[in-house]
Amino acid sequence: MKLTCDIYIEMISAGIDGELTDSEAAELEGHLNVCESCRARSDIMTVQSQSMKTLPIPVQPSGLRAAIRDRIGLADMARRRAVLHIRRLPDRPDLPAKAQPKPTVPGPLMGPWGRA
Amino acid sequence: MDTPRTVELELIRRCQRGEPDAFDLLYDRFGDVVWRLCYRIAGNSDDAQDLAQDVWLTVWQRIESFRCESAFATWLYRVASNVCLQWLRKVRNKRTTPIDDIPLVSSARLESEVADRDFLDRILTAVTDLPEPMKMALVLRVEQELSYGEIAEALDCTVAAAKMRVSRARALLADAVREE
Repeated sequence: MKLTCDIYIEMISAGIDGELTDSEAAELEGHLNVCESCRARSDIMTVQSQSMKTLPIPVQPSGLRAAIRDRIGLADMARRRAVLHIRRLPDRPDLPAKAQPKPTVPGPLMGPWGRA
Repeated sequence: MDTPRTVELELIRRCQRGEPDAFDLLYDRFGDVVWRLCYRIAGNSDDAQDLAQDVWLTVWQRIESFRCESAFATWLYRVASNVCLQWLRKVRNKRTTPIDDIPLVSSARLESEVADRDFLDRILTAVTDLPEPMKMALVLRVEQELSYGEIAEALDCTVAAAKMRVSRARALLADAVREE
């Protein structure tokens, strides 16, 4: 393979993507007819691109979503919201203003909702 | 009538308001896309799970910055690509299989080996060992089937650069498995 062959790598790749014009395809084919090394590389690149699509990917582990929720703090957030709701106490008209019960506010919240 | 775009925007706004239930709906839509990307980048399930957690944590932390002007998937790919590239740089020095050590096969045997598990394993190893920017571009192109314009947006580069990264990655993979 010569140094000048490097310019054909992108053309081979574009050919795999079906993005060559007719004249570019003819130019590439002309080179591949005289350059054994580029022909071999082109053949392998083409087969590999097809094969890559068949490479196995396992299904997501069943616990991944829960792990992500934990990491983000969603479960904690939902729990804190529930606590905040439950601890909102009714007014006591029989007591002076200073003695009115105050809702229990949980600690600092995580995530974008915590700034409210 | 609600269009898919309207539904997606409402979902994003709910996430931006920090509604925990909205996360599940977002995950239903994009969880598999992120998983496939993370698995192909990491090359194994354990690391892919860590990587997927990093991606979703970053998505959730930054979703307020999404302006709803482009498709959410484009923004998601950009965030995921950044997280993946950071992760790849972090583990670069832990590479266990130098690309020069990958066993070579004759190109004459190539056709018969396409269905061969060993051949696929060699490709898999070679993909794992690609330089980071090329690997990201190749996975986004071949695995996720993004256009070069979308890859350029995700990787914050020009379309020409995206094409060059993919072509170089393909050539490196070819060189890694062929007999010279």
